[in-house]
Amino acid sequence: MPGKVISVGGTKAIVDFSGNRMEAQAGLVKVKPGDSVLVHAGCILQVLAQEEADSLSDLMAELQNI
Amino acid sequence: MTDYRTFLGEYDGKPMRIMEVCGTHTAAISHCGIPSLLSPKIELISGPGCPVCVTVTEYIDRLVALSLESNTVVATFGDMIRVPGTSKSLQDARADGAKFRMVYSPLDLIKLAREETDKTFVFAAVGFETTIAVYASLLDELIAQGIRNVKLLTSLKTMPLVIDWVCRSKSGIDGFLAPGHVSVITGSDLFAPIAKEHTIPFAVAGFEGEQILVALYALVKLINAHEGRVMNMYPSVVTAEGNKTAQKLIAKYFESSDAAWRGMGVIPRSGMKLRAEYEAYDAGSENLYSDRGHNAQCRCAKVITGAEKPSACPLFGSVCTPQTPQGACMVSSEGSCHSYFANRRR
Repeated sequence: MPGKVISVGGTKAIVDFSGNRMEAQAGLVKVKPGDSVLVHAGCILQVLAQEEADSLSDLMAELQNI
Repeated sequence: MTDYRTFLGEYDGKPMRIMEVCGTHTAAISHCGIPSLLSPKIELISGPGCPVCVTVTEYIDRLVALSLESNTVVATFGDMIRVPGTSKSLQDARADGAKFRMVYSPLDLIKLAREETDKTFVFAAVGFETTIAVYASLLDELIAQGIRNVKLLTSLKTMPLVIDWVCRSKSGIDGFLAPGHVSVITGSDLFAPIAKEHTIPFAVAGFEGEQILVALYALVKLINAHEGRVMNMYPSVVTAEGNKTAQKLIAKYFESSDAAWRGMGVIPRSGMKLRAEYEAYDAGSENLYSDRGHNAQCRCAKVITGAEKPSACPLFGSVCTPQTPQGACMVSSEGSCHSYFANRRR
């Protein structure tokens, strides 16, 4: 489940998961408040891209032609 | 857009076996009831992607021994506490004085190590590329803060060569649901050489039910078209090249090594170990290769490689349950046996 970055300080960030706020390591990817992020074992691994819906539509259209 | 759910439910082409490599996918597939949505011609097989399940007993024995040493505390994710070694688990060893702590993140050790400087904390560092990145972050912090009372007992695995092993083992797998979170770190291109060499498709998938179904739809299409390539069906977080910062940090602290896998033996260069210059942080991880479960009838080894389903094991659901696990696959919530038992899959 992705979380939302609330604040960033150095290599740490506060991330909100449906109301649960946790500190996470933010050294592996640049984040800013408001970003949706993927967190694994207390470490932010990636920022979720906003254009996912468009990408998936393209992929599904490609599959229809296979 | 094609109704992929109808397509998967009514599929009547050639029978196919699709392996979900990642333990989190195994759990999500069961939790979402995905097998009940698929045509009987599409069979899902769980693969060797549950890190606890593929860890050999000699590693567990070493962990137990460390937990009994004076001033040493083992720290671990929760699953590892109940995994049986040759004779006992960490939990069993508590009566003998074993000292261990369950943590949410390896990074929790920084606070523990600062507060309890008279103890050495040993983290049970198992996992794949995703978690190796977290261990690299931990080492970065430990060194930056000058903390010396934390060590890692490593049993680190990497994905490509074990999937190659499955392809070469004549397991009859037609396509792979590729691990989403490993791919976040490595990039989806990691699987392209294997896909090409074995002419077998990979679809990188997220962990929501719909994301898994979409990836299965892609696989069924690609298998029928005989296309050995990778499709990234988890584009919100996975890129072709992966997280370069994480890859560099992993390469700074770890190097490729042979690794022992339950059920498969030692696969050359299928794991990672600490680089020699950081051996001060190693808790004695070399040569932990032996694997002898305490119940000879346990079929974990065959379940992990996809050779048998959990329900084929004579211990499944009788002697072996989540309360009385005989092998690692019944301990971890990502383990195939646990997942089959908890969700009444057959």
